[in-house]
Amino acid sequence: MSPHDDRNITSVTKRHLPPFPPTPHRTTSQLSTTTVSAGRHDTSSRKLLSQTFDRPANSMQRDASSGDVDTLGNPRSSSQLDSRNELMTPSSSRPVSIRGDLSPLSSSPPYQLDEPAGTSSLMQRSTSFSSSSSHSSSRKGKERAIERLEFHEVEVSGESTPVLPDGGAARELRSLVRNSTMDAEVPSSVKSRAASLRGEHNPSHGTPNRSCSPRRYYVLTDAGKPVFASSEDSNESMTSLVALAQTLISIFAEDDDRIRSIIKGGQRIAFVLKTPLYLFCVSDWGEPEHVLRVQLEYIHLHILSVVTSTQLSRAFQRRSNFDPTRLLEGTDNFLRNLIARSQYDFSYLTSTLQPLRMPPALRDTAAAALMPPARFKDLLYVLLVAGGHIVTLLRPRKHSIHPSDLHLLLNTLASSTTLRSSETWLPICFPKFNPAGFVHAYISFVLPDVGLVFVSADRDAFEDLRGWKDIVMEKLETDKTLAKIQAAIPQHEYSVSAVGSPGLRHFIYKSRQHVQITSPAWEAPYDQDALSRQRVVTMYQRLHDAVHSRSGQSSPLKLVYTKSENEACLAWITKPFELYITVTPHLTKSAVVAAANSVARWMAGEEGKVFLKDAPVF
Amino acid sequence: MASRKKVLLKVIILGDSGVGKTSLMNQYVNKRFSNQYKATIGADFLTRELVVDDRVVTMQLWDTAGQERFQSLGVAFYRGADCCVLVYDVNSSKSFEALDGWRDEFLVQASPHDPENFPFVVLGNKIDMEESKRMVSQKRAMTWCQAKGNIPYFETSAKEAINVEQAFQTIAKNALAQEAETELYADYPDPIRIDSENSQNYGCNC
Repeated sequence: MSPHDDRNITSVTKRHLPPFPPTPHRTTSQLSTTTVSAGRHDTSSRKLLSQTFDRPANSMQRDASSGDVDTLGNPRSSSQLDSRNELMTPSSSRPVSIRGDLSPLSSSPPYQLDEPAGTSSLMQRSTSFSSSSSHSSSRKGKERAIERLEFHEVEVSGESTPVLPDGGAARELRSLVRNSTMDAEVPSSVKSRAASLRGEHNPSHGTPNRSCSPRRYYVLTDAGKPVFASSEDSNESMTSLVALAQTLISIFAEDDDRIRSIIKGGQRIAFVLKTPLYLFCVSDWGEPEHVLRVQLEYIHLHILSVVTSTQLSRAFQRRSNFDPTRLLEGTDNFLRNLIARSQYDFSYLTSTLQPLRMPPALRDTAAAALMPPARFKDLLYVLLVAGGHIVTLLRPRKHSIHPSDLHLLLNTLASSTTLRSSETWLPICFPKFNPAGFVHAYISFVLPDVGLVFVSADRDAFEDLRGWKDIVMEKLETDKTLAKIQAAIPQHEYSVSAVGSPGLRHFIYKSRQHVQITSPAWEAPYDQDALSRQRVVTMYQRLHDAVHSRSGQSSPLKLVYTKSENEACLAWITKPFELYITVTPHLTKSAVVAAANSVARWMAGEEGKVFLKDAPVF
Repeated sequence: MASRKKVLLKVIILGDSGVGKTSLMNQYVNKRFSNQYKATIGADFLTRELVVDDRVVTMQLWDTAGQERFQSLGVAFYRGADCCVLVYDVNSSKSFEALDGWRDEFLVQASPHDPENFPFVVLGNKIDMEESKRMVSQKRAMTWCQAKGNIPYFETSAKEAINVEQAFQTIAKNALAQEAETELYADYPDPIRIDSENSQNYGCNC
């Protein structure tokens, strides 16, 4: 008996896994469900057994996290609004519709959700989130999910042609997984999850006690060498883990396919391949796949902001065994901070800004003080940052700035106390602007939480820009502009009660024109524990997925309503804005609609304060 | 130099089936040996940390399938290796004669930037067996190693744990020497021109 056997093979695999499955395409095993999806969407699916990436103890049931989702305005639905676990069924209750011209960007009065009204022209279809991911297979729904767990099937789905056509690779994959050194703890967790699921034929949705573990993010080279891990894994287990990930990725790559994600029980492992770097994330939150992919893309962009993609690919061309960890020394902190920020902040997922909330006149005064003289030829952006938010941003007429580049800059500022305590000349790459080279940022925090950032393409502009800063400061200090900006920082957060809509707990409002979002502070019950916040954020992410049809849905939804025992959420997308609201679960449907309308109305009056609307160009 | 960040070395182990690749790895990493033969399917990974010249080194050992029908991992598998260990069984001429093929296979698949100086190590395993069974003499093996550019050679026994530590220590040392040769070059990327035609609009009107 080799050490592998007693350490790594679960009792399950021993008992139920013949070394060569009777048919390569279908193997049943007990107690494990894994879905691997690759390529675009499920055109094929194969059964294959694998057990990997599992964790002990705190496994969750994905079913428990999903709420019922329906489109508002479905004329056949609504009577079941208050009964959990069922999609709305036909009823005679009044439908809801959206009325309004969809064309103008600034409709006044703002968009109106009407209830009751005539036909439901905007209703698209209903969606049920369930344990099988929308890409995993054609079989969806909770019943099927439970059934799957009872039949204990494991699936692998690939893009178009069968990914592992002859079964040989399938055997390898299985063996790799079986032989790998990391899943020593699998048996107990798998057993306990299966046991709990077997006794739970009607899983409760949004169970408050469901606990999610922090997501784990990994970056490796395409040779399988570790570059970054967000968790405190032991070095050894991480080294083997990323090697295994590289092998899984390459099995698909050899068939010209790209692995996208693996679903294993309640866990999802999402991959983003950016040769020469690979990234993956392990999560049990129950979010749509693209949420993880967006987060991984941000991690990749942040790496590129430190080492340009040109530098990186040049290094790997020279040596395929290049180890970039030394090049990236000191960036762990930036990446951890980025990950922490992207967990709850919707501006990452939506690639938007969240400027400092302040009186528009004050913003204009600041912008005027920052107007650069014409002699700075290579000046790219001029920013004033306060409380970690943008106060104003000036740019050349011919260049706009991509929000994700700004996120990288803001995250860099937030992650380094050095940058906030001394004048700095920082080379930084803005990958969306130009992934090939560095621009240089003059950074000076003139007050503890108020900073000036001048970005220039000229690497010798430090002294010039430093001289200009004194002039800017002079202007900012007249009329106490700077002090007023600092005073605005604690006013940035606002309470949802400002809207004055009973039952409204939280919302996210995105101005599509300005590519900016705003949302109130988390209040009870969401300020108490991270768990409830996780739940709502995940719900928002699912709604976002549905209104943008990011998971390959046939068409995007205009309006989505979802409800669990804890809260109800509604997403509403119009031409000028996207709105996501969370309300108490006891509200009637018409009250939810009224709440959405009142947020939209209220925002019409607030836009000047919360959004950066007319920043000057130079 | 002790403060330098940990180094990771990717080490690929190649050789005919049954020569003891997995056993050598298990002996080295887990200090265990099993007489039972179990074919490796695909690949297997083990990790061990060691100290070489005051530097902490993590060895990522990629054990491969010797049996041809289980080999299909290809380029991705060999990519970025820092050292390649070629293993044969001193009691099998066939496994020794196959070393040429394994070496070529590796150089083709991994295409290291400097194939002449890529660090290989050859291990003649199973020296614990009776002397009468031995088919490949030490001299013959060393002649081959010299002809291939002075590849370090060790005679090992995974079963008796003979020379295993020493062999892997040398593997790490040679791989590390290669790594040190290419220090970080300070190439400064080309400056960016902002007045060029790459004027984009992302729809952000701020």
